[in-house]
Amino acid sequence: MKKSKTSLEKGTLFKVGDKVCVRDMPYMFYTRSQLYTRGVVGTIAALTYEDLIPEEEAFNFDGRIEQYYIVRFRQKDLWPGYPFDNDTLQTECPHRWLEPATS
Amino acid sequence: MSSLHFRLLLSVGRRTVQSRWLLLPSHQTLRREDSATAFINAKGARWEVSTNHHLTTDLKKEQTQMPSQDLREQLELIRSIQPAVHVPQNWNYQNTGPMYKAYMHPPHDVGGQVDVPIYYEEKEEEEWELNTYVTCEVLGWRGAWTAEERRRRADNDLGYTLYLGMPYYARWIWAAAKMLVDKKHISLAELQEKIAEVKSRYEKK
Repeated sequence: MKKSKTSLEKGTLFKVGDKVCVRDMPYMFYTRSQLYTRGVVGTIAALTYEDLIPEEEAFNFDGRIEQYYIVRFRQKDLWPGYPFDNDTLQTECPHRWLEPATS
Repeated sequence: MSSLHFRLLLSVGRRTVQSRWLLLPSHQTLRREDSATAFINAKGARWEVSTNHHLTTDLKKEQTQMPSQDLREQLELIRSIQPAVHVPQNWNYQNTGPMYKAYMHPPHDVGGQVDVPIYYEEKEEEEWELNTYVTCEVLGWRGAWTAEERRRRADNDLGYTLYLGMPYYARWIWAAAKMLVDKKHISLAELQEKIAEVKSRYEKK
């Protein structure tokens, strides 16, 4: 794995507990970022690994290596009317799909 | 695509949602039960239909701010372009012939298909359409693709939903972008980031 292509300085990584928002990016052709999380604020639960991003690896493009995170959402934030306060949902996002939550 | 185009698509999408039950063949005429999630056909068979009710309905009564109104409208639009009736996907493996041939059919081969009369409109190309035309031709001159590959990508490869849903030149520019990504002239991430950047620039104006 070519670490030299990492597009991020270590200082810009999110850390566990940071509030993040899933970016509302165009999603034509391929992505693994689920539509229902767009614009929703979640919390970084873990830093998992660095890897190629799906949008490039899917086309065998020798591209960027990015940090992946486990992001935790409150179910109530994802689904209006969801009945249980404490339930959460975790999903995986590469760095490019996340931005710091403003609220 | 301009916001006007998007609003137009949105309104078309909503009409589709409302009228889709009118488009069913007569032998599949459905009766809606009070629960609104189950339907009964002419022969009395009953089945449940997922409506994503929790996503799109009665939200004004809720205090939840997420997902956003835009996202809920988008999910509803996506639902509206899916087939009105989902055919069970377990074919008869002994004789898949007719179904397989139907799915195999290239969408641009429209001759012989039944359709309603369509209003013939004399219309000048818009600027984005001319730009698309020039872009695709220039890509041809530079050897990125041939005219036949362009036709294959913009007509055949799109599948029925995109072929029938997109305007003519939107199919061209879609195919050009996909070709550039497939051949690694650009990366998909690069394309997505650029579209997001340009979009936000226009939204600030």
